[in-house]
Amino acid sequence: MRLTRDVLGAVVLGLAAVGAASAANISKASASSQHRNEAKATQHLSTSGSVTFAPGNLGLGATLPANPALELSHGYELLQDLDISTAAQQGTVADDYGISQKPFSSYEAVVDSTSGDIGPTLQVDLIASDGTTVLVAGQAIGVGFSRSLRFMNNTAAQIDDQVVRVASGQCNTDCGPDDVYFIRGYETTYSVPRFNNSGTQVTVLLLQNPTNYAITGTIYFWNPAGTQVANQPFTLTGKQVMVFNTSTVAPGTAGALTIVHDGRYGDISAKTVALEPATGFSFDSPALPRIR
Amino acid sequence: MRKNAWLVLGLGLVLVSGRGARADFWDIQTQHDGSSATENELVHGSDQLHDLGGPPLPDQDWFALGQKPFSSYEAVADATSGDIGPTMALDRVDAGGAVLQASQAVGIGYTRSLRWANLTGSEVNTEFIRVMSAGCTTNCGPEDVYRIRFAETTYSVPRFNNSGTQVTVLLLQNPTNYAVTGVVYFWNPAGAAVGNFPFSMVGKQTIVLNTSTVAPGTAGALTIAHDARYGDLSGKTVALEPSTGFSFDSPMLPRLH
Repeated sequence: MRLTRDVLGAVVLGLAAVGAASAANISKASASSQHRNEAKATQHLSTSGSVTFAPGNLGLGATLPANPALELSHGYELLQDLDISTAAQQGTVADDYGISQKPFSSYEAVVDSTSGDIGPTLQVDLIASDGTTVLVAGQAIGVGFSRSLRFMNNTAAQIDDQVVRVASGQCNTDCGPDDVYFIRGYETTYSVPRFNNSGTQVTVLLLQNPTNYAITGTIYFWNPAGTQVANQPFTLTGKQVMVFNTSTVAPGTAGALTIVHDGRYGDISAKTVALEPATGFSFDSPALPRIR
Repeated sequence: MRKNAWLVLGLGLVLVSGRGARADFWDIQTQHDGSSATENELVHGSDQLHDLGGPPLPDQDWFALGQKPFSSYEAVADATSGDIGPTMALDRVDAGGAVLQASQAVGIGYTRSLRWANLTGSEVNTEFIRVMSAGCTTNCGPEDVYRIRFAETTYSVPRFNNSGTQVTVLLLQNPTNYAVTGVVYFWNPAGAAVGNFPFSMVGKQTIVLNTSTVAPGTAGALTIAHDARYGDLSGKTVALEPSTGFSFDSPMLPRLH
């Protein structure tokens, strides 16, 4: 019985190895596939930077290419390690993720699921182009082993030379492939498809912070041609609601909104209401983040 | 074809002989996840693959978590293999391991869902999620796996308005087949609590609540903490302004992840 089980297991492992080897040949970026069917999700959850495990066989590994390029994008997910146990990894005590920050957009990187030595001194930072300056530091989400890093690009220029750096003070000397973390990337920008302050119509923006922490950001007003016509910075404490008459910043025009902020992905709730007193019409437009 | 089959078999045998005795990542550390000293934390959107294999057996997996005020949560354990499923226990426990709440079966019994709400005004950072299985006391290995997911289930609605002659109605639907309880919290524009409405709904029930009976003469936003599964409830508010004929709908949405 045991022999039969081992032989069958060997066949399964062989098949799994083919899959694992295939997975090893793809880049880490492609490992962030958003296809979430169960089989892929299970395999995905057991893939770290240096080891790819087949579903149900966490002891089976295949080595990924050394020093692969890492890039965060919306929907990116990866189980990664802070392994410094091999010669190629000596001196590499952090993982840097490139990220393309689009104009007037905001982002979040979440790191959780820490094992071993990583958790208590986990750092997730946005690093400047000089490679050392910390522009934004990640914050604890809950009891302290996970971090959320949020940042905004409020300029009209694309920023491609900053990186998200994951490190741990306890992984300078002895971390191995079993010291893992899970990283997720999000664009957190919201969009509202309509505001209208033309004629007698007036649009009110209702912006709710249902969380327990303060959120700051900027509301951008775009006309139908895509030209920015106004912007409005805001700060909301926990549970606060902003009721904002948009005709005070974008009078006599119509278009759409985007909202850039430093809240977590999906944390804000909002809508616009356009009122047309002449007819009694009212129009609601929901604010939605990018869906993954 | 036959050659390929032998190749696969051979590769499998090679890998078996070279396979290390690795358990899941969080088990094999000195600071492992087998007690309340775990340094593995569940947050909104967490998604992990674990096993209940030893050594040592029986294996337990503990997860730290932080609960925010007036918020609700769900942990789901599914994708079980081998010996885990039929007797898997997914519990909320204190630091000493005493069970505070046991999970419920989602379907035929191999998948468990654990839901609760922190209805206090304080953070709760001293409780844990624990996974174990009576089927894994003696012979489970790294092939006995499960997947755990975690989500905050709190809903938000960006507007209610009972100022002047305006009245806002909350429509809260339980489209499921199980009973749901919870509390609707009313917040003024400054973020101060101005009312709350506990509710209990049987499957398929809808509550039509005139919110001016709970928070008269004021406006703001809502949050809803409950014990339903993530995304299971449906709802919206409708504000009516009789003097102008305006009506305003506001959607009720969970936190996306």
